[in-house]
Amino acid sequence: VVAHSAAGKLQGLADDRIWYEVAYVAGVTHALNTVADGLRLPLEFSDSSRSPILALPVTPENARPVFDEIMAFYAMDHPPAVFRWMARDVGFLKAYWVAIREAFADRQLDRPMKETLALAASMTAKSDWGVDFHLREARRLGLSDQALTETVEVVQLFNTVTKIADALQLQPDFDPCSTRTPTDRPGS
Amino acid sequence: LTVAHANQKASTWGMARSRWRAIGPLKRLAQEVPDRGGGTIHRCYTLYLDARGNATPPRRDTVETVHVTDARELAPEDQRFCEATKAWFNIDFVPKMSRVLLTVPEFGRSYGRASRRAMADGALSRAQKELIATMVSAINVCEY
Repeated sequence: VVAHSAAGKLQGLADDRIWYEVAYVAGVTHALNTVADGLRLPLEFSDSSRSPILALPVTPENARPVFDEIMAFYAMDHPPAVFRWMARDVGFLKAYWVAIREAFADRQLDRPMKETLALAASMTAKSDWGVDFHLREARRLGLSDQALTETVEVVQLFNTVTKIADALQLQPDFDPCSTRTPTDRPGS
Repeated sequence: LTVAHANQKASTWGMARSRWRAIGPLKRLAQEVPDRGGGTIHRCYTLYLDARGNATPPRRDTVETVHVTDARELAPEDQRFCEATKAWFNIDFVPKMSRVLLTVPEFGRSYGRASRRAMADGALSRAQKELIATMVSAINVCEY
């Protein structure tokens, strides 16, 4: 994390707001994937033989307005199962949905980029539900075949080096508080 | 906690006073010590507070399990690759990961070629690819 956030800053992504947005997307994506895969909710767009471990609730009447908003946001004709699950507690659904919507809103990063990041997060976490969901969203929002190829290559590359780094318990090269001051200068 | 406070306490902890510096605003400190390859390694410590709010002796953070190859130990061809890496990242040192990969050149050179190809500007920019790399690292909880 330290190396790539530093490298990203050196590539011109110096504004901290960008990194907050990346972190928010990581957090809510991982959380939704955890619920969806943990409860074995069916995939939304691909063929799926999964059936929920726990029954999804009948949609409460007071959840309909937020479901309408969710369906419009994702251009779907039904609310994704993970939100139907969350409707067991409509107050929680409403609040958490707004957090998701705002995490994915166009700000420093646009929504297609955030969906691409969510796809990378889902692949890395091996979330069937997340890959299915965010792949469709990213493509719907304009991710080209070439950009998809590049995304998967980067995911593959950095799943390689993160595991090498972990296996050797490598300490960061970069000072986490600085984009310009390396903490280790071998040979210098 | 401040570096000055840590240095003041260092002797009572039986630790060197020199070359401590803060990493982050709170309770992490770093110390630079010589490594076996003639370079410098960076050791991180975390300070913890006791119930009264006093700093307890620093605990060493996770350490690398290998001697990370110094760039000067690499083959000349790989040293040139390291120089290109510095230019690629616009930094003035060779990242540990580059040196780790090139420790077995047959692996590191081919991985490096794949990496350069994949990370170049394309349908996605290099900066966007660094964001994706950060996301992968975050989900894998990889500190490096």
